[in-house]
Amino acid sequence: MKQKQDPHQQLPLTPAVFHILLVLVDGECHGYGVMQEVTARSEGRVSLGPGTLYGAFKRLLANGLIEEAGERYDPKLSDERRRYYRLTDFGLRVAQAEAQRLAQLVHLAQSKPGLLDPELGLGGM
Amino acid sequence: MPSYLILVASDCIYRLLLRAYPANFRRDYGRDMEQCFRDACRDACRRHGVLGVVGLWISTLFDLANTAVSEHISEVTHMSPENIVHQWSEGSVRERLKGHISILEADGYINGHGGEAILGVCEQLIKKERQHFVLNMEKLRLVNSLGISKLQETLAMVRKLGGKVAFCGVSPTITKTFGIMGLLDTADIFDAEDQAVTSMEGK
Repeated sequence: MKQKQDPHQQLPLTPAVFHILLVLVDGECHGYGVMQEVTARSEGRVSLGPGTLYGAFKRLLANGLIEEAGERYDPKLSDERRRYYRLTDFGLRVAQAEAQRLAQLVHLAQSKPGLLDPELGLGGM
Repeated sequence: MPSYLILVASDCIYRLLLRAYPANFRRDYGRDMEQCFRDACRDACRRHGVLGVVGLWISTLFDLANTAVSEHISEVTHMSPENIVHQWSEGSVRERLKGHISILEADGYINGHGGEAILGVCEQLIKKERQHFVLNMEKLRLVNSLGISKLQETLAMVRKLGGKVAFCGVSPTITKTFGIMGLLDTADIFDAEDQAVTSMEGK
């Protein structure tokens, strides 16, 4: 019988890894697509180089959080075949657990009046 | 310098710089990393011209320096004796991942203990939700009947749980032993590891 892994054992995730998982929550994507999405969603604050991206892919594959989804062309890019990746069920559970962990942290921060700063937007959350 | 020359030159230089990464990492991801860099270079050039490419190069060099070092460290850790999945007196089996498929590299001699070790490794990996295995026998010298019966047990256990097992790099001597023990009728056997992986991925 297959035993379920505990997603909490994978936490905390690095910001880069969490961003990658968030992109893959929306569906299969290839490496450059992930790089572009991460930059766009973080409004340029997080930018992944190829080494960081594929190092993270290697570890996510090894830990069973993502899996390869074959090679195909992306009509929006050049006429090269690209390797796609998708989230596994376990990867989804890890992303959910990390989101919950971060939400709890934000909730804790919001309970500290000294941290409420309208300029940072924390008080309004 | 025309922009296409900048792109071609950048591509060539990045390809050379990829040699800073460990060979295994380059084999698995080198082509994709090159493709990503080429795409990023083209976008940077289109949006910001030469300055965009210069900016991209600066961030890429930082990325390359950091990650090449960490991948070498990871490679050394992976190759250290502590990370061999299992050893027995006449051989060992080491696990690495290719996509979602676990490659088990066996060397030495698979006797009853060796077969037991491989069965144990598969059980451990199944607990980590890895179900598909390629047993690479390129470095294997011999396997005896007890070892084969354990391999048959492994095959049955993995298949029962919905997984797959394939063999590759099987020498003529071992193929003969497989034939005598009836394993040729039930096992998927391939010449090369890539063929086994491709078949298992259903490509």
